Amino acid sequence: MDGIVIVAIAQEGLLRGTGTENQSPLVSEVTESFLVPYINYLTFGIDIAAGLIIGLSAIFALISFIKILIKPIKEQTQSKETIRLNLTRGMLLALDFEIGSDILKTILLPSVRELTILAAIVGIRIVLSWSLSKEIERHSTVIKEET
Amino acid sequence: MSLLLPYINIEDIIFTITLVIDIFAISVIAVSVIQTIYYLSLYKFKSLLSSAAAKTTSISNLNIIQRNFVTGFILALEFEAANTILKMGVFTSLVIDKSSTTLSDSFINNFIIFVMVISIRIAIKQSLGRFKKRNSS
Repeated sequence: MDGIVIVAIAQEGLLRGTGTENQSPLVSEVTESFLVPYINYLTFGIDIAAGLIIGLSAIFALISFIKILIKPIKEQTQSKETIRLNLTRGMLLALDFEIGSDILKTILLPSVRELTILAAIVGIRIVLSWSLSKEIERHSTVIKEET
Repeated sequence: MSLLLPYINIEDIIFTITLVIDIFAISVIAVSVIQTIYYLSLYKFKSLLSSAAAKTTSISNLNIIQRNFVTGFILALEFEAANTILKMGVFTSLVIDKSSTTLSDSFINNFIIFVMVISIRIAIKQSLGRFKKRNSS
């Protein structure tokens, strides 16, 4: 809906405008008034969602950890691996959310320096996400072999 | 949502979550340490009383105790890794802010912590893998 409004206002500016020097402030004004708050809300929501996913995964992991304490020690070791695997899955999902939020934030960044920092963070996240997924795969095969 | 947003600080929310996860990690470490001390003392007491044949089975029990302890530590490290992922999320929020001086300081500090946690995790994972191989062979 916001996108349609932006396009409509931009078209109005193009029709009214006398030259390129008049279009650019209007477009930037539209971006400031519509796009920036919209992306801010969206990234805020995604960040909160990622935080909640990690928080809930941690709570579930702690509850499972408390539950396994009554088991014999040999079973505890295997159950701890399973709990860790579940926590890693939650982390992976949250990381994907964060990467999505970072990609949205690139729209707002004006300078090359900030964009470089963000690119580095996204790069680290992608590498971490890849290594975590590899670890989950490896663990799943180990658990299958053991059972 | 739009009315609430100026009054909600995302950094505060995420720092509260990270604080809770830190407490979880500390509790997991504490429980693992207490459990290991308990089982080790039990093992020592049993090995003093048992015969030579029974001692070979108690050695495998010692390995299980060690493995359980290391797995507990890795679980706590996983909590810390989750924590650092959340903290990294706060930096990207700070990137949008114009205060670049505070960004660079906090970014470098937290990035160092993040790399440290990940490298410790990898090191412990490697040592646990070697430990498992040694026990299986």
